[in-house]
Formats: sequence, C-alpha cells, structure tokens
Amino acid sequence: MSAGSRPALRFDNRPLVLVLLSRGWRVLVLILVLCGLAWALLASRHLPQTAPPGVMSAPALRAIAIFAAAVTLWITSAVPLVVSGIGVFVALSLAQLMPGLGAGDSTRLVATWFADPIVFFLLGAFLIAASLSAAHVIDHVALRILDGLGTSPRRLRQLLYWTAFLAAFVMSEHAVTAMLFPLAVRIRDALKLRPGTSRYLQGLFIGLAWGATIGGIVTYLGGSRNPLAMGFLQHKDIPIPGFFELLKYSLPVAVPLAVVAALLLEWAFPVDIDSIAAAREALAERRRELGRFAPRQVLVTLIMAGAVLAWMLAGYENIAVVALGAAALLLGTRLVSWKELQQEVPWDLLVLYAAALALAKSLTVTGSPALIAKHLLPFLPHHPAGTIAIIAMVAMLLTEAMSHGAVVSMLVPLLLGVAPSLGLDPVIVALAVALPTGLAFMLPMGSPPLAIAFASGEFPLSLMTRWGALLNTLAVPVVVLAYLLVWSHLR
Amino acid sequence: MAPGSASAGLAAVRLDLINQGLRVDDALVAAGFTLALATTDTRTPGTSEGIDLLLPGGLWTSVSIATTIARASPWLLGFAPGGQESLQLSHRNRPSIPITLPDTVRFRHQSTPTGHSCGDIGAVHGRWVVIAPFVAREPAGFDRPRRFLGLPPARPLTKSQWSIDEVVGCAQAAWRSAGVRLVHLESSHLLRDDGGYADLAPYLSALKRSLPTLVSVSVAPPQDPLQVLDLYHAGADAVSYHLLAWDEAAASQVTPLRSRFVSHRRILDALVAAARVFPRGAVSTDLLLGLEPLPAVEHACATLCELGIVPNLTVFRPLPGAEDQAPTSETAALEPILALMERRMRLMQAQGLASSRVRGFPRVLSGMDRYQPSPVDRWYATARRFLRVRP
Repeated sequence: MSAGSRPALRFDNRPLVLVLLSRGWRVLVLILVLCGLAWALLASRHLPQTAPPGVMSAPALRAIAIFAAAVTLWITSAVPLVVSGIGVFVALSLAQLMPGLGAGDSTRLVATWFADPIVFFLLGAFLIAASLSAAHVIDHVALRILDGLGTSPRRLRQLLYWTAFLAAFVMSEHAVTAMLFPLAVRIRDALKLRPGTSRYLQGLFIGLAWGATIGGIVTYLGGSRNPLAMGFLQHKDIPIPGFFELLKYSLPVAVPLAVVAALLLEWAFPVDIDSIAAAREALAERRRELGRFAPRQVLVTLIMAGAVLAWMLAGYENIAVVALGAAALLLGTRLVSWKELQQEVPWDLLVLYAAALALAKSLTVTGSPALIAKHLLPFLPHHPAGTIAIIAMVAMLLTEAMSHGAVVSMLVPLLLGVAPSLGLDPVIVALAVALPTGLAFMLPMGSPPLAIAFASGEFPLSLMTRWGALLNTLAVPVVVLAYLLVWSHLR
Repeated sequence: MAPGSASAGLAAVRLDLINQGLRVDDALVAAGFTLALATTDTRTPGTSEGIDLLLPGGLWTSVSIATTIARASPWLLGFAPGGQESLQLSHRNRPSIPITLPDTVRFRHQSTPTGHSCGDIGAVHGRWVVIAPFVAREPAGFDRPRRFLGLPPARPLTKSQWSIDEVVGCAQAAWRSAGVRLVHLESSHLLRDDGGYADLAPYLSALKRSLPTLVSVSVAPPQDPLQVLDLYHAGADAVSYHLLAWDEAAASQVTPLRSRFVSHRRILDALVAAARVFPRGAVSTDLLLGLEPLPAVEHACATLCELGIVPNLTVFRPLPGAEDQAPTSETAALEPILALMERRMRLMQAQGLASSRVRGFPRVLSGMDRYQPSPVDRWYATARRFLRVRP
C-alpha cells in the first residue's frame, strides 16, 4: 500500500467509538484511575483519622485506593511500569497516611518503605546474573554438558532442557533462555531442517523455555517473584525461609513438575531425526569460539559460589548484603564492567518492586489488611488445600497476561490479610502465589523464556498454547500435592 | 436555493458571469484602478484570464475578462454612479449589482525569505491560498486548454519548483495579510505510479507543522488506489481527482494527453478508494458542463453521490487563445444548469455530503459554499487521521 520501504499503512474502518476505545483505552484507564483517586481523597474527608480494626479510616481508604490504582495500572499496562512505580511514591507521599506527620516527614517515611532490603537484594541478584551472562560462564558449562553428553537426539534435547532448569537456579530464567537460545539455534541450523517441520526442533525450543521457567521458581535468584513475596512477609515481621530453606518448599513443586514436563516433551514432540552429528559439530565449533574456561570465568564462578555459600551461612536477613557485596566484588575486580551490566538490569522492575513493597507497607500501617480480609474471606473456600488450588490457578492465569511482579504485588498483600482466617501459614500463602506465578507456559507474553523460544519461528502460537495449557493444568495438582505432602508438615 | 430567493438570484448571476465573462469599463482602466486583478503580476501569456470579484454577501467569484466571449459580454464592470469609490456590475437587461474587490495586494507584495513574491507562489481565493509547488510535469502542451473558468487564475511559476520554505512562507503570509485559513495544493505527475504524491508529501507535513490549517489537494490519481491512504496519512484533509466528464471520450476532448496516461477507470477507482478513507464530503471531482448532455451529468452526480464523492459542477470555458480547441464556445442556457445544481444539492443532502466537516477547495470554489472550518473541525480532522490510520 505504501511507497518505498515505508511500512504499509492500515486504515481502521471500524466505528469511530470502537477505534477511539481501542486506541485511547490507556488514556481512559488513566482518567478512571485518577478519578478513583480523587473520589477516595474526597470520601476520606468524611472518615475518622483513626479507627478500630475492621473499620475504615481515612488513611486506610487512601492506602487502598492507591493500591487499587497501582494494581489497575500494572494489570492494564496503561502506563510504563516505571511510571506507575514513581506514581506510587508521589501518591503515598501526598496521601498523609500517618496522622500527625508533616509533608517532609511523610516523604521520608515513604522513602524508607521504598528502600526495602529486598530491592537491594534484587539489584545485587540482577548484577550477579548479568555478570554470569557477560562472562559466558553458563555458556561454557552448558556447552561442556551438551557437547560431552548429548550423544543422541533425545539425550541432547533433554540435556538442554535440564541444563536450562538447573541454570535457572542461579540466574534469572530469561537470562538463561537468552544464553542457551543461540545454542539451540546452532543445533537447528546445523540440522538443516525446513523451519517449522520438525517436531524434534519444536520440542527443543519449547523444552528450553519450559526448563528455564520451571527452574526459575526454585531459588531467590531464578526470578524476582520469590524475593518479592518474602519482602511482603518481612513487612509483617514474619520469619522468612533462608536461601536453602526455600528449596524445601520450591523443589517439591519444581522437581516433579520438571519430570512431568520432560515426559510431556517426549510425548508431545517425538524425535523425528536420525542423527545429530552435524549439531554436535556445531556445538564443538562454538566451544572452539569461546575458547578455554579462562581465569575470568573461573573467578566469576568462584565469586558466585562464594555468594551462594554466604547466603547459606548468613541467613535471609543478610541476602541483600551478600548479593551487593558479590556484585561489588565482580565490578571492583574489573571482571565485568558497569557498562556491560547496566543494560542487563531491569531498572523498571526494580522500581515496580520497590513500589509494591511500599504499597504493602502502607496497607499494613493503615490497618487495611483486616478490612480487605473481611471482604475477601467470603469468596474463598475454607479448606486449605482447596484454597491453595484456587490461589495457584488464579496466579497462573493472571501471570499469562500480566507481569509476574504485578501478580505477586497484587495477590500476596491481599491474601496475607486472610491467611490466618483460612488456617494457612502466611509463608505458605506467599509461596502459593509466588511459585505458580512463575509457571506461565501458554503465551509468549506470559514469560520471557516463552517469548524467546517463540521467536525461533519453529512453532505456531497454537502449539505452545495447547501444550502449555496442559502443563499448567498438571501444575495445579503438583502444587496441591506439595502442600499436602511437604509444606503442611514444615509449618 | 429556492427560485426567487436572494441566494438563487446570486447563483444565477454568478453562473451567468462565469458563463459569459465580463467587460471592464474603459474609465476604470483609465483611472488606473488596481482592480486587484489576477492579471496584476502576470508575466506569462495565457494566465490572465480573469479577475476576482466579491458579490453581495462576500461570495468570491473568478470571472473571465479576456476570452472572445467575455469581450462581447453583457456584463460591464465599472464605477458606481457618484464617484470612483465603489464599483458595480451593470447589465443591459438587469439592475446593477454593487461589488467589491478582494484586497490581496498586501499578500501579493510580500516576499518569502528567499526573495520571491508571494504573489508568484500562490493565489488567494477567499479563505484559501492555492499553491502549485511544481511546474506541470506532463509532456508539453498536455493541458491545453488547461483550465476552465470558475477556478482562480493560474499563477505563473518563475522557477520549476518552489521550495518547502517558500511554500510555507507564502502560506504564512496569506495567513497574516489576507485572512487565509486553508491551503490548497495542486500537483500531478501523470508518468508516475503515485500520481506525484511523494513529491507533495514533504510540503503537506511542513504546512501542517507550521500552520493550524486544513490542506486540500488536487493530484493525479495513483495507479494503486490504495495509495490514497498514503496521501491521507501524509496530511491531506481533502482530495480531488477530476473526472471532468462522466463519459471518458468527452473528457478526453479537453484533456487529450492526460487520457493517454490516466484512464477514466484509474480516476474513478482512486475516487472510490479515497471516499472510503477521507472524511465524508472531503473527496470531490469536477464535472464540466458543456462536454456531455445534462442528463448524463445528472446521472453522474447521482452515482458519485452514492459513492460518497462530491460532484463539482463547473461551466466549461476555454482559456484565451484556446477557444478553437474547445468542443463548444457557445454560452450555455442558465435555467437547466441551475435546476441541475439544485438537484445535485438535494442528492448531496440525501447522502450526508452537503454539510461535512471537511471540504476541499474545488468543491467550495464551484458551489455557493462559504466553507470555513471551526477549530473543532480541524481537531476532528487531525484526531480522525490519528485514530483511523495505523502503521
């Protein structure tokens, strides 16, 4: 339709109202959110500044309104995450949540809520993960495994899958996928199969995404969901599982699910090639390109191992110190440069997490959880396993369309308020949200690993959705069984 | 336009003036009256075919003074009795009509930053400034007789292409000094598949950046009708592709060379595609009265209105020196034409085309339309483009 290389234009001939809604819904959402905030501000004038538990006070209404506004913006992505995060800071500072505090004191208080240790831990974890990626440490390890042990098509694919699963214990799942994806592409290119025709290759890319996704729920390093959920607990002064204690909760979900996914992979995507000799040659070539495991990689690995050891010994309270210390060591010894790392750190997510934690704190100090619990409780089943199943399902469904952090930020504060009434331990409730939130298998927008795998062009979206939906369905009983057989005995 | 009403009478006078042209009284010329004639700065023969008049009510009309027919016209432009302060149109069999002349002298005497006279670059017509940024890029002699009365006089080009800055400067001068609020661009390139749109696009965007204006465009139709979307996206608010006659053979009498390069089908396809893209009432085509029987024109009007295209009716008159190439040089009977125009208006009203928010210059020129968009209309035009067109 257009001249030259300019992208083709499209004329939208739907009724103008529909066009307006589809193009201007972000503005509409923003207007509605601002109207809601204005209404809450006006309505709070008629409420007392302090009230007994379970009764609405002016600060509680304002805190709930800001929380609802932020969640709406996160769900709809009407504005960039970083904008809504900054908006939370502004709104909380102006909302006068603590009666008797002046404007300056209020801002200082909100700033302390934002400066949560979890945020600094996440910053450190992002920097460490970026260092591992920049130094090609995981690349080296993965190549050694694949090149050495991947002697048959099935073994090679399973090795890639399990490598992704294990690597996501120490690196963020999307970094793992991004790093292993080029290897999968090399394997594909070496096999010289027509794109989209080989079930084996489809399974190779989908398996890579599944492995990284499932592995990403195991530790505090695989994704930011677990630390964020723990941050909400910390605000309530609830003891939090340490780095290795967390494995007691996550592995009973991750390992069975990983086995189920591995079996599903073989069933859904059978091997339809005879030889991988060409692929092995391509991997060997990549190894030659990377060269030997140089001192730089050795030192980065040692620092990473030291950090893990320190996390084990120092306990959860000090994980931020350890993470930032390790990051400082990596940067200070010039093993990695700041320029390499700064582009890898998702700064907008950091702001989002800080805002989410500040929101949770604002709800707590205004006594809102009791109010929320009062209204939410009638909608939840009063059987713990049933509640866990519903929480897991809701979290998995929401995370297919929303950012993981947004789901955790929305559900954990709400559910922590009702946990005692349901007879559930708060840690279990937080993990029942955080772990399933990482298990998005259906849509590329659900998680970065799926998006990267989908970019291979090897399979249609319907294929990913179909098998992903099945894996999601299987994940719910796995979480419930983990609760019944393990979690309930730990708490 | 009920018979006997003031506007009906005015329409008849306007049509008759276009039809028969007008003589200028010697006393007026002898007095050195400026007349604000379109001929004032004319440097190229063949471009001094008319003058602009403001009829009662401010209706702007371009009238021939140089054709053979005009030299025998019953209409005479002269001083009103009682001095040289006011002018009137007198007729052998009708009462005199007071007229005024549009003041475009200030505009024409302004210069662009490059030193060119604004009068060389554009012509003011009511609320419009009409600019042709390029010399016609068709084979020599393509459009003789290239114009027909009803249009403002063509401005001579002193160079082959006006720069974007010059065109914008001219439009800004017209904005400041002549109360212009709309821009009409004319351009065509029959040998190119896009009809010359690509050349015009930078001018469109520059004008939109510089002035809060609507821009109407007359261009050659593109080979691919869907390319009208590019024109709309570039900032054209209204577009005209001129059929000139419903019957292709009749149209080729006045545009023989154009017919070789651009088929009637191509024009019609572009019009239909444009009617689907541009705002309602913003797509128009000229039909010349005199080239084919009036019933055929009426049929064309009905069909075009149904397609959402505004048919502009204009009495065909050849340019001075080209009368012998015209199919007819006789003056037309007014009554059937006025009746046809009345029926055309009803058709447009029935299709919701008569009172659209956005209108093109040729449509305004050929009718009794004093179109002047409000800020809401401009906002609508901009918002509609933003909402409807997606990369």
